[in-house]
Amino acid sequence: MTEAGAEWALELTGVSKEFPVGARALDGISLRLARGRLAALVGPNGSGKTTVLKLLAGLIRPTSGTVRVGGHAAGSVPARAGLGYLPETPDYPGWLTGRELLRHLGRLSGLDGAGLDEAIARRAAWAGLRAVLDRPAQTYSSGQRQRLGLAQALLHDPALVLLDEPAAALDPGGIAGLADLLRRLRAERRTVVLSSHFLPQVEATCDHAWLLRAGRLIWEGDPTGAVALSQRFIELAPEDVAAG
Amino acid sequence: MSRQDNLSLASALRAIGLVARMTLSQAVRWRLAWFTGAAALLLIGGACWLRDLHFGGAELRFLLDLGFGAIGIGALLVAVLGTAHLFFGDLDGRMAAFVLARPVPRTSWLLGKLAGALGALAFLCGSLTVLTGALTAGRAEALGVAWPGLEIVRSGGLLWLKAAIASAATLFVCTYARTPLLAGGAGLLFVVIGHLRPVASAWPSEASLRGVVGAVVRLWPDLTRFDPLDWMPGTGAALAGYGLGYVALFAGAAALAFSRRDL
Repeated sequence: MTEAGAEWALELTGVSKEFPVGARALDGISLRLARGRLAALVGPNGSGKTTVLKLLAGLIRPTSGTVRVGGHAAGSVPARAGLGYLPETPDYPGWLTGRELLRHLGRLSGLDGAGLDEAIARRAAWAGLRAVLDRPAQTYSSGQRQRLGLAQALLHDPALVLLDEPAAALDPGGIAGLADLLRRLRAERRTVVLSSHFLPQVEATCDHAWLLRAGRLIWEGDPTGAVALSQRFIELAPEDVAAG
Repeated sequence: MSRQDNLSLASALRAIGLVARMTLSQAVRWRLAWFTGAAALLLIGGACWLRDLHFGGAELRFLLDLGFGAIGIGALLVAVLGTAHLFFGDLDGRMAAFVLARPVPRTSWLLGKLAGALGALAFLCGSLTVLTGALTAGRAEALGVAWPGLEIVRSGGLLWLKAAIASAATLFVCTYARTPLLAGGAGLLFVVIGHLRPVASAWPSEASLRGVVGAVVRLWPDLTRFDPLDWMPGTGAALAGYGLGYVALFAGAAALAFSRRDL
């Protein structure tokens, strides 16, 4: 697949991010992705994967460099209009049921009426949450919480889906369901960026990967290429892998 | 204004309404608000048994002072601690991330939180004012004196305005504070200084009140203006403007600070 002339779904140019405590999470990183592709951010803990996803979601701002989503500055309302985001280890207010949460977030995404009810029913069915949807979300198991997080991220059929460790806390059935979901999103030509430590799944489902280390992009390409991603990861210096 | 601008404004206002409704729902479930409300309610309800303690004033006056004192303290506590709780509850969980990764302007989210907090305060001040009114109406009839209904309504409104300023100021602190403890502590300090403001203004020639410190003292809202006892007839509209002006000022500053905050 050639990316020449393609419209970029996302683009980071010379992006650095320093947090107030002085930690440099990203160091002059540049990457871009064409629409309709499914890409993974991989790397040891602390390599900057979550920071990239938060920058794309507009939740944090770069210290230097530019971040664009669908041609708009990341964080702007147009950039967020077609975005679905699953944060790492999603948590929910103790008093909200799963249905109330999805209803509230769906309305904020512009859904309403029968369209909203249909979207909630469809996503709840996919996530296997129909039986518990009217229970407070804080009573859910960690796997159910993760599924609810995925359901809210996909509720409004976003064009760009950002998933931070989507396989975390999922049981084998959930992981298989996630793989199916990723394949379906790719078939629907949605752009997906996920961060993961689960390299076999990345190799099985993604068509692009970025390998990060200490806030720098050290390799990108086809995760199933001549040297598979898992082999490249193993070749990282041991202290980098142990750093997390 | 173009059609696109109208649509943007409409969706921003819709988002404020949705966040405010959710915040109000969140506030209603906050146990400390119920505890504070119940404590104020007990104090107001218990005023009938405390009325022998008055120090020379009329009994009805004593009941009103006790009632409005309880409402004022309760509303200020809920305004400061509740606003910090409602803000950090969303930030420390993932609710703010869920919402702000959607096409919701950050200002809409912030104003929605403030509107929800002010709605909860209106409910608290309103219900306790009604209780104070009912209690004093019964006593006024028994004592054969006129019942100051208008004064009671006005006093409830003044105390809500005072709490609204404290809530907006605390929200402003929340936008750059990292913990609810800091925001709550700063909010309470704001309230204390706001009540000492007339003391500082009484010495305009003091050297310490010149320059920057003096400007800060003069800009700081004077919360004693909203005390029902210090009410000056004919100043209602000006006082409402003064209070709402400070709410708008703190909300604007909060929106500015929050627009650049990392979440």
